[in-house]
Amino acid sequence: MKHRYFKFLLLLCVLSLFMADLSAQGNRPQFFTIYGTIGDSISGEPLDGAAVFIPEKKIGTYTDKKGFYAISVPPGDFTIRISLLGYNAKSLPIKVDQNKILDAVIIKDQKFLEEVTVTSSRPEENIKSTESGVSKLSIRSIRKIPAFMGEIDVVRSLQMLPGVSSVGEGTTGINVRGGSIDQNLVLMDDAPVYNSSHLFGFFSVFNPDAVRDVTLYRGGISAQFAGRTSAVLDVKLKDPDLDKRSIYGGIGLVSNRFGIEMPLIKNKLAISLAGRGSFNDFLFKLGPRSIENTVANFYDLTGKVLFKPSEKTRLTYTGYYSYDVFKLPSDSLSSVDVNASSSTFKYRTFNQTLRFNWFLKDKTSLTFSAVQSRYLANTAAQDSSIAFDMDSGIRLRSLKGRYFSETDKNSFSFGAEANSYVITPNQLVPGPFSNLRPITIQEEFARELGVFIEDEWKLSKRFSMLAGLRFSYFQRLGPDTIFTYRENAIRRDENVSETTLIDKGESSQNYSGVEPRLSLKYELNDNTSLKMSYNRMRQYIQLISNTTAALPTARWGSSDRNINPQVADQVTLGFFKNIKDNKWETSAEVYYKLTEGFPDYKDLADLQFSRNLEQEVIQGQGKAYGLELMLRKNTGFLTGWLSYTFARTLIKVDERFEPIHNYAGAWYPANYDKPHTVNAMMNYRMSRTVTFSANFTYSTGRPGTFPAGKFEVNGNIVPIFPDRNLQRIPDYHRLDLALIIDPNPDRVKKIQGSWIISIYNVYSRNNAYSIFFDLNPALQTNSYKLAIFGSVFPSLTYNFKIGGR
Amino acid sequence: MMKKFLPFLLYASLLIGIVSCITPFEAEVPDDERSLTVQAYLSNIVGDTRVVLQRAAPFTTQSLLVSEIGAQVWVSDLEGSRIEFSEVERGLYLPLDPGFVALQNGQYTLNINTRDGKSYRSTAERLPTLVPIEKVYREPRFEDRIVEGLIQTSWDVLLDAQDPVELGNYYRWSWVHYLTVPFCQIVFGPPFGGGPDRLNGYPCCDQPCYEKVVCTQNCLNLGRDALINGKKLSRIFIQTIPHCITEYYVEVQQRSISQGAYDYWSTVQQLSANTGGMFDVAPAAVRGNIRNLSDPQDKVYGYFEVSNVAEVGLFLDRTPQGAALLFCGPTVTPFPLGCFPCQGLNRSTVKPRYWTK
Repeated sequence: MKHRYFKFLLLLCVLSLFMADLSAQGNRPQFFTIYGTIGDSISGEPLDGAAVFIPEKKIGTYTDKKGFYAISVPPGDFTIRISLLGYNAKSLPIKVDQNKILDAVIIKDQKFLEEVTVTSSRPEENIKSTESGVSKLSIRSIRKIPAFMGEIDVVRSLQMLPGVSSVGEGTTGINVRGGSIDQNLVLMDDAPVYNSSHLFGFFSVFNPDAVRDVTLYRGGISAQFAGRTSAVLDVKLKDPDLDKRSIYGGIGLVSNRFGIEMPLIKNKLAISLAGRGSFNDFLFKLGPRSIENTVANFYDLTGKVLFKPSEKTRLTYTGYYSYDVFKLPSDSLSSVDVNASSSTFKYRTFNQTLRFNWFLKDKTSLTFSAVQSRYLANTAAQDSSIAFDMDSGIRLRSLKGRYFSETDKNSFSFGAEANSYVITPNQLVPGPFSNLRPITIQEEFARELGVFIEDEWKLSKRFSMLAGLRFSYFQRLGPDTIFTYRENAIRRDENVSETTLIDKGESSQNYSGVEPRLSLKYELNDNTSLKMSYNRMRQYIQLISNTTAALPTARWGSSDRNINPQVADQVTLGFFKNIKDNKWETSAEVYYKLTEGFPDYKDLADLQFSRNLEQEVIQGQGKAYGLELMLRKNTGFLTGWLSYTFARTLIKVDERFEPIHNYAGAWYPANYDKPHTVNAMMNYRMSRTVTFSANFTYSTGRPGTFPAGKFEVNGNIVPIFPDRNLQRIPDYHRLDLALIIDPNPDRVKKIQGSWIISIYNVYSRNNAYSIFFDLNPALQTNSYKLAIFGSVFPSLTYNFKIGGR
Repeated sequence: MMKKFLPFLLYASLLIGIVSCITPFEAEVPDDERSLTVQAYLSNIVGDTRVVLQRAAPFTTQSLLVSEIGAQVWVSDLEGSRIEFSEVERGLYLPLDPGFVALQNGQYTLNINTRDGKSYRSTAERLPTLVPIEKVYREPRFEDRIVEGLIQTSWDVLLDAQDPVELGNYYRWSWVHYLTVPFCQIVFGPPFGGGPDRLNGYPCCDQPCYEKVVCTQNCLNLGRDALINGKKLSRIFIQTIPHCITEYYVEVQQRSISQGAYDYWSTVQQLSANTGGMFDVAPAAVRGNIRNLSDPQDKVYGYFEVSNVAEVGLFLDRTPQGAALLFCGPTVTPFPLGCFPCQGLNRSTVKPRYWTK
């Protein structure tokens, strides 16, 4: 392993030398460069899309996502004017006689304060950017969306965007443009997150106090991202403040939060630490006896260290740890062939990222990062004769390097990534007096290498192109036992024709392929553009789950000789138009996506203890297509958006699987196929201190399979299911309101407190969580609707911040 | 595993104060399912062999499972012998030879010709190897009640057995309870005297009259040796017996079954437990071992199970000490005039096999 990393570093080193040479050639000695970052005066967040302009020379630029800008000017005395919608413009005199670094902060315009809520990028970004299907939400705008139980939630807020859905409230993960939850690459400061949910999906693992912004790539996905076929959710955490110390936190019904950030060496080294915990299960003790022993808790810790030895270099370390535990008073692990009186479920995420940024010169940077992501799930029962501990997990170690250089016409980047996976399938360890036999399933070892090159050309004032190419190489490593099955036979032990043993470290199967990415933009005029994008994505590891909503304890699996990688091709067409000086944004996007190797499972598959997952997994085809319409108002006292999504997601497995799959040979809707979705989100600033917000959502009910008949076996009534997912549960709709009271919007007081009063499900809609069937002769009907969030739910949260900007 | 998360979510919603509710829902359910369904059992013990034929029905409370009458049913073995069955009750077919049992190393095929001229046949099923029961025992179960304090309310019947060294043993456990009935006919109050709530009973003409009680709901109890191969199957739960003040007799059967039968039963068990919740697995097809000989599209639901049964009888002396004030059946006043014969499918004057007292 060390050898591989060393070679990789060597490669990057050579590449960086090559690059330094390239940039030297582009140097113009008669010009000097002014560069730096522009940030928000209060939060210190880098500001994306701020205009930096030199009136004397009539030249200017915009800051990038990291707030970075650079302008080349001849020597002389100039004024630099910095402006951004919602902020007071600032002019600074500067004498240019050498390359200069100018970092600046700008102050929010009190008139506009808190109004510009739905977009954190510059208003014409949707017209000017080459990519389509990219949405960015800052934590500032997420805080404005009425929160369930007052708990601000990153993942939940994404569900207000077109093309994003989930199988239901309180379920793990999101489905983006017809992808399953594991087809999204969820990154927290570059480290993949394998389970983004607390408490089964009621809340997400991202602490809102630590998050800076969230970007969802669902259409034009940059070649720097890979490994999943559907979408990328890039969560960036705030950098600790190098200047001032602050303490912040919040008290809510679900969790309590506390955080601190402080400079250790002023303007050089700072640290932040944010914690969040829910310890509210004492409430169960007040409930009936049957639930008094229930445990359901979580906590998470997010820490970040920023070291800035010079203006040109930055080193950050991010550490994240989360822990969930729940214990049910009684249950039966029937699928584990164990009847236990009580089981405890735990799952943990431990991620670390070390990232080094080196700003070489003139909009040129190098970034290296080393990542470790670990996810562990555990199920345990204590009854002595059948006591057991069952563990599963996944560990990723990754090294990445990226070179980025921008000129007026070109944004060029390339990089490489090396990943090493260790997947632990379920391992069962019996207790000391247990009669169970231990189960050890061979760990899966794999590595994945990727190199990419990407360039964005501004071919003319109107036309731009973002072209990327990625090559990925996946290697499944031994020790491994590979079964070869008779041709076209159902994969079962009795159809094995040959068994091959692979030694430790030896390659048992390789896959490789190119992943072209292309985005085109043509501006019809300053306010209208047409965009097209095409992506190919390859996915080598996947979550093994055949339930409607995935369990947090579900295992991961990697591609091997019998399980092919998933390959998805997506085409998106988009039309974007802004009206009234970017006050209103409109967009329409259509997409079509075809996935080969889409995972489905045989009837009643044993996914927990299968040693040969290929006997349980059936790979089919996935097809998704849809239309996303959006209308957004960006400025004024009333802001918000309205979106409509038409989306279909269908799956098909080959006819030859008929003996093991109850609906082989025909397309059927995926569990999360919801054709129609309408989302409306509104913020109204009533006064300087009070903001009112509302959101409404409507979607078609998710598919379900209802029984077509019944028969009797040994006293049991058995339902007959002739098809799959061809019926639907009732449609879903809900209205939420929130009132955000910030008595100190100017941040002039030392202690700042704010209140969020929210009402979830205002008109108390009994939305169906699920439909179930019960043939109790004493009852009038055979089908019932279960609504978990079936009533109005008010909540109150208090947030505070002491110190800081 | 999946089902338990539904209660968790309900608890979680309770924790966070949400009112969850269940309301009737009018689901559109197709109603054209009328396939033949078969429940067929053959084992090594006398009286266990039977075939029940019915038609599937729409999935509603009102729909009835209609018995399939007038069918021709027989079992053939490897030697080509044909054991005929006759319909003793609507849809219930028993072997003409009441002593017919499956023999060691025997292989059997079930054949059915229905009245509408269709022919069905099962795959050939071999009798699995017998796995003996080591012991069947009972343990008292107590409950802490508000008024009475700690009292015994019931007994758990448990079973131990030794799983053979070879992998691939599949089990289905069942029980049959017998009791002696003092009254062979029970009628409500008038015109036999007393108020409308009073029960009057005709004594049985033949004493003792034994009545057989079989499990009718949630009776599937399955096991396999995938996780415990070669080790002891211990504390297998069989049933709960209420702590009433009478003796209790039960026959516990351990059926060694084939992998196909186990798969069938576990599909049945999972499907009948599927609640339509978020953590349910995708619905599966019930694949039996019986086919229509001429029309593969004609679906048949059911299984011909050939099992090797180890059986143990258990007498339970439920002593009155500390007995709970449980409802153990209504009070019946003996009717002084006349008697009723001990007859019916579940009644017999023949003493059960392990009835030692």
